[in-house]
Amino acid sequence: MSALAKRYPMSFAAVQKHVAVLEGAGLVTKVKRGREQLVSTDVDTVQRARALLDGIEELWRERVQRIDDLLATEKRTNGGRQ
Amino acid sequence: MSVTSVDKDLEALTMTVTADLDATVERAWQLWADPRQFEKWWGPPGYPTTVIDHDLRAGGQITFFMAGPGGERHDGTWEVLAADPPRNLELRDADVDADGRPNDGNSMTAMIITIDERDDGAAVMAIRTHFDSLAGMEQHLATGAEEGMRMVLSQIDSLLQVV
Repeated sequence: MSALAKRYPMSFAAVQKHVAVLEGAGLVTKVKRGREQLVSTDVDTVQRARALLDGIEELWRERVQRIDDLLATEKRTNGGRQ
Repeated sequence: MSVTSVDKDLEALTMTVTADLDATVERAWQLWADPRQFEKWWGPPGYPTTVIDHDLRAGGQITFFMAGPGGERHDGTWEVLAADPPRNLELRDADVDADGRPNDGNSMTAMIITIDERDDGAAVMAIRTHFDSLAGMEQHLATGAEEGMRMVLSQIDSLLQVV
């Protein structure tokens, strides 16, 4: 963890906080070895999170498309008036 | 008129989708405020959405279900945290346990909708979704995102092939 903290322009406490968030999201795991805290990335989880967010993005793109269609149909029916 | 930006935060498990709409702010608000409107765009084709309760006030509830092509039914229950027509709406998955965690397998912890007005009078709608877990995101996708889910599965497939 201290080796990790040295690589970022932020305090040890700040890095610790970020790691805790990542751990909470299941993106990294922390293992204690002696006096050291080893942080490892769960690559599968990170990739799964990315894939899931991509899927949810697609879902919203489709919803916005349906909204656009809805608004366009309405405009046509109202002869251009809203 | 369409999606102008998508911001994803892998760490916080949030996503913000922003879209320009060919409508006024008031008209855009109706997409959420009028249950008949909401039914027309929420679910994908083949998953007709039916709104049961629709009390769009702070403390109110929105309940709906989507009927899948195979006869399956996906229920949604939201609590309205804030509703300030026509610009701001905050919803949360209502079926939560004592710790505020979703307990129905549903995952969406919160959804914040903001509708702003561009200089030309058109509406800009931003939807920020917060998820509590990956399992939650999967659930969200499974209930009403056939296309999205298919995309995820194909991505996971290709990842597995690389590994």
